[in-house]
Amino acid sequence: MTQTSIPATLAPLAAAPTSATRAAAAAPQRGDIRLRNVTKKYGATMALDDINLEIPSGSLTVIVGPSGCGKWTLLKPLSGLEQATAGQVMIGDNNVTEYAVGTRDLGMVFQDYALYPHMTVERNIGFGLMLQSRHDRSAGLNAAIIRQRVLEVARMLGMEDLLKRKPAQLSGGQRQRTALARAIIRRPSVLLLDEPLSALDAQLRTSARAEILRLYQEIGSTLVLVTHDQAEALSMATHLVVLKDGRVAQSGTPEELYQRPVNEFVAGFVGLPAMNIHAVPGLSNRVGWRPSDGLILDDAGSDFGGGNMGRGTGSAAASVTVTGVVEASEFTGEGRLLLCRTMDGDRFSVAQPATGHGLLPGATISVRIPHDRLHHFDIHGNRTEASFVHA
Amino acid sequence: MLSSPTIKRPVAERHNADPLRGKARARLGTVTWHAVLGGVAVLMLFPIAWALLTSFKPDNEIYSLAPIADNPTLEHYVYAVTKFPIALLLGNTLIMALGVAVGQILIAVLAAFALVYFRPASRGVFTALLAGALVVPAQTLIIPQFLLTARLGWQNTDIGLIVPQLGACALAVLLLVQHVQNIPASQSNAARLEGAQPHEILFHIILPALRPAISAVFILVFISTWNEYLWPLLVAGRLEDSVAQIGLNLFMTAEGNNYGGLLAAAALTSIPIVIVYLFASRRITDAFLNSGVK
Repeated sequence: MTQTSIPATLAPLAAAPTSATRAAAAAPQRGDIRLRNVTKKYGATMALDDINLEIPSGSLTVIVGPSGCGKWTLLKPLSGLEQATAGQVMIGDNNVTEYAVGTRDLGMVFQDYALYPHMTVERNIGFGLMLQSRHDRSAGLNAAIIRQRVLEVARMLGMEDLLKRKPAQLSGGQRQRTALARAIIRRPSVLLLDEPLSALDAQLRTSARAEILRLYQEIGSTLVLVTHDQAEALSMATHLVVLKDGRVAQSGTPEELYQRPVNEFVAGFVGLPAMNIHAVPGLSNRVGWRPSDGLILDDAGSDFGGGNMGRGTGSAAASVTVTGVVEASEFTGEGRLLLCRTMDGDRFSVAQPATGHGLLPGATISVRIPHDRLHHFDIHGNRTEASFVHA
Repeated sequence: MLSSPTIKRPVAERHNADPLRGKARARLGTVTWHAVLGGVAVLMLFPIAWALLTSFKPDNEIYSLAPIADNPTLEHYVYAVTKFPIALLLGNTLIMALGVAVGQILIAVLAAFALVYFRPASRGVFTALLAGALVVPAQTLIIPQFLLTARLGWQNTDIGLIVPQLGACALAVLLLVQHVQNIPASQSNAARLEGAQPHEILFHIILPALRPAISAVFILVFISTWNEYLWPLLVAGRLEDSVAQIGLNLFMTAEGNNYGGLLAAAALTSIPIVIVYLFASRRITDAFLNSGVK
């Protein structure tokens, strides 16, 4: 892969190419990652349980899950920092399972950035190349070339004037850029990012996110980003992997996961505010619906008497209505999020557009959800298409 | 607010009363502590100050209880410098203290790095043994060490003075293990991912971060070795091979009890160590108080 110098005018960030188009554009699939039956045990604890995963070359794959789900553990056998207990790791055509760490053609940004505190930014970024020049005289690296390459990535990240500083003299965002520069200077085909935004405050996070997306477009490597923040995951990923208890709960495009979650866990985890999931009287299935998909009825509950939730009849046959009491109302900017509770005690939330009339806490509320916006889950919590099966 | 003064008042009073009493109590505590610490400091400094003052007293005033001599004199110092082989002894002491300090640091850095970085299965056993070594009194090892040194023919040599004392490096190892553990593992992991071999991680990542701790441990070992008496006494029988602490004995044996000369020579041999301490005291306290990483 060659380092292309991209002019300052970049394509809009929102128009990130999909994994498919990028994969097709990249010459050989050297950034493909395949995990086969990867298992990692610590004593009796199963940290990774038979992980099978295909990460397309050139994708921005985000691995997301609640804390303790094995996100960080997954990066260990992938990066080579630790060996998997069982299973295979393939990068490109190579089975790298047994490769020594540092020989896998990948770069990594650590959660705490792991900058070397006593080295200047320049030496931090150039450290890997300096080692390479010592190990392999034939690599043709000398001090001048290393300086040149450091300058190149520094320019790419807009930090040429920081090169003489020590990490302690950098802001959080500058540290992150240093860590990114250090990870990409060897032009790896895979770049691993462990919670790269968690150390930044909320305002910086947005710009750092844009920075990562821009970099992703420039370098053409496969990016694997680990985060606990599903909103971050949903917005950045071309490919999304949800982990739970050391297993892959679902992987696919963010759209797939958002629109067709395979189980209640993924449904509740992906998307904010979280999907409402209820038991419905008269139905064996539990139904889920997004707070933004609910339609607040003007005349609370008048259309559908009896019960908190019921199937509509007649013209509204293809919908479900939920009735409850507003408990709290949160201002979201575009409108309000009403936090409600049914008479049965199930909590749900619904988005109210700014144009709607205000509902105060204590008010009775009825929400209609069109049937094509409903998700159905069986008693095991798995997605099912057999809708409205009577109990 | 205005309508509820009766409710607010007791609350306000309580709030005001407590901090005042608390502050007074805190001040009393501080005063007590300072009194105790001051008393201890006086107790510890008094003999040193008395020895120093006495070294300026002429022989006929040595036993006088007046702290300052009526006729202060430098004669003891002149004697110590001219008749006593102070330069030779200080040189020997310096070689011994430097040798032991450098040697212990070398061992301790390598051991600490290995224990933390490679995480050998025997790590717990090693640490327990090291901690155990701390509670074994040095005197119990004197005989085997002496026999060993004698059979190796190291009597009256610098090696004989230095090498056996390297064995007492448990404290240095344990201290440095703490410091190595405080270096975030992500730094060495980042270096590993960049292809660094263990020795490169040691040199480029660990050692620079360890520098303050190393200098603190170095100074501690240096000072305690400088003051070592028992081992040089056994190994270096000849005066010209021995160290300052042993040399001071001359004043007690060969010359009778020449307290003036003894104290003057003691003052002179202490000067290097006081200088080292003055330069390094900040580092020592730093290393012990915040053994963390900035």
